Amino acid sequence: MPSYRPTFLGRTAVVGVGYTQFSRDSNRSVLSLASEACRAAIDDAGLEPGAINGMASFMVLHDSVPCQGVASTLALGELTYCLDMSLGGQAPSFMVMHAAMAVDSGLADAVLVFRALNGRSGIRVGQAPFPGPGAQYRYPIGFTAYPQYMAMWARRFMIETGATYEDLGAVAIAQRRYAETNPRAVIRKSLTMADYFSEPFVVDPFRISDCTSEVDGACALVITSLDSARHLRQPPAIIQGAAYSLGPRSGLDIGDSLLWEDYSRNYTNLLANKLWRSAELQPTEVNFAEIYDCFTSTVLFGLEGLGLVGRGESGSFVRSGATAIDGVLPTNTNGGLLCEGYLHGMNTVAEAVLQIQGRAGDRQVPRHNTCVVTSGGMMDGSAIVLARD
Amino acid sequence: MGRRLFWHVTRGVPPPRPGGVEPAIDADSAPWWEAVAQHRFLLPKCNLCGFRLFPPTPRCPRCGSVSTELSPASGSGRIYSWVVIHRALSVGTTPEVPYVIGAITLEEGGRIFGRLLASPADSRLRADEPVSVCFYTVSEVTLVGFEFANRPNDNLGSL
Repeated sequence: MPSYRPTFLGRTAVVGVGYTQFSRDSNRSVLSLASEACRAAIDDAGLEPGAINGMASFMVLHDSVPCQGVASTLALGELTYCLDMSLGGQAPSFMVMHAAMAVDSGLADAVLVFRALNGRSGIRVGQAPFPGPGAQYRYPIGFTAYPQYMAMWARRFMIETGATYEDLGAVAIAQRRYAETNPRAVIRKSLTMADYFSEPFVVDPFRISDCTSEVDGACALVITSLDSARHLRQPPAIIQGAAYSLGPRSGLDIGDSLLWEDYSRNYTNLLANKLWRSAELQPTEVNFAEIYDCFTSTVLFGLEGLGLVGRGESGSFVRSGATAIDGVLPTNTNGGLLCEGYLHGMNTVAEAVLQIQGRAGDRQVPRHNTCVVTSGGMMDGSAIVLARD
Repeated sequence: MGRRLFWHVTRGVPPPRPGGVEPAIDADSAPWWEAVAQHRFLLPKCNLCGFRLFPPTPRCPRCGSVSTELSPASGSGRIYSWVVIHRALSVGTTPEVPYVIGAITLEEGGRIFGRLLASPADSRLRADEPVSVCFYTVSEVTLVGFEFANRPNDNLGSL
């Protein structure tokens, strides 16, 4: 398309962030978790619950509660915008885009976006079957779980770009460094390359440390207009760029990639040009990156797909220390989904907001004017650019 | 037909364990699965653009034509990618770990997932290695799998 400048850009902002503790057994209902994170985000923004008149959420595998349940529990008033999507990790940035569109178009004034699940004590996405017309070509042969599908793409990436097991390990190791200073992370133990190589494979090329940690928990954001944001409690994290892509011949369902042409390139390759054009930035101008990391491989895919590094250069980039807190592009500064826990990428966005706002404490990156955030691993996904006011 | 059911005896790898999930066959895929049960490997073909594609879909994913039909395919392909599953992550039972799943690019076009009926330590497990279709049975369900087309060490040429 000749021009790409969605009208909500630069006019809306994320103003509040809320989390529950992440654990392996919350002993609570998903509704309770969702409500806590949502109320925390509302309070963080300095708003009253009655000010919220829009909501958006997403779930895959029916593992969460609809927005109406949380709205009722939080004693919100009428909602003039409400969206419940059936999606996985592709969703968070896209949800923020929807919230921004709703606010900017005048449908709502303040939109609450959340993800909540008992992802470890309940339905585990890493093992659960994905229904759909493509399932019959996977389950009978023993190709049954999402980590295996991602590993298939990771292998092709290794074949085409020369990426190695060491490159995957370097991603895991770099993110453990950040997790050491993140009290919310469920995995905080440091990792060496020797440790990494001594781990058994889950599905070759993935070892245990290549895989995200399923958790019970919830995470929420509040989005308002930039004008409103400037009167609220936290510095606005302005939504400066945004893009979504579902690539051509993406398959028959969320688990199906038989028709997808190139397993070494994912949606980030497709949306990058639009994303940077919409933000009016070059990739090298962002100060830090929060790249969706259900597995170590998606960080390598994302760094290359977004044009943050060249094709085949992501491994050496990570191994050089460039993604560390004192590097040129701090990446996954909370330890990522790998270490903080798998909130399907909602916490990837939340961490970006905290960093832009200067509220990341011990793991605050020194330069935090702009960042890129991605959501998704394979055929479809979304991304936003956030900027400090 | 009987010969293919006992491939594991001559190849020294563990047999597929009975169990696993029955394919959720639908109206679009039933003719393909019927052919598989008869040990015939067919691929959809678009009559308008000639695209060979997998899996069967109501319309051609390249040109959108409704005029597609199943026609015989050679069963030859090459390894596009593969994984070695070391931990069974599933609801039902699966083959005995470790086992190999390949993403195979078929000679005529299209890609299919299939169990590579060989040891994960086989030196032929690499990109572009030629493979060919075979059929095997799990709990009375006939499935498509793949075997290496070349003998081990065929790549040594005239050594």
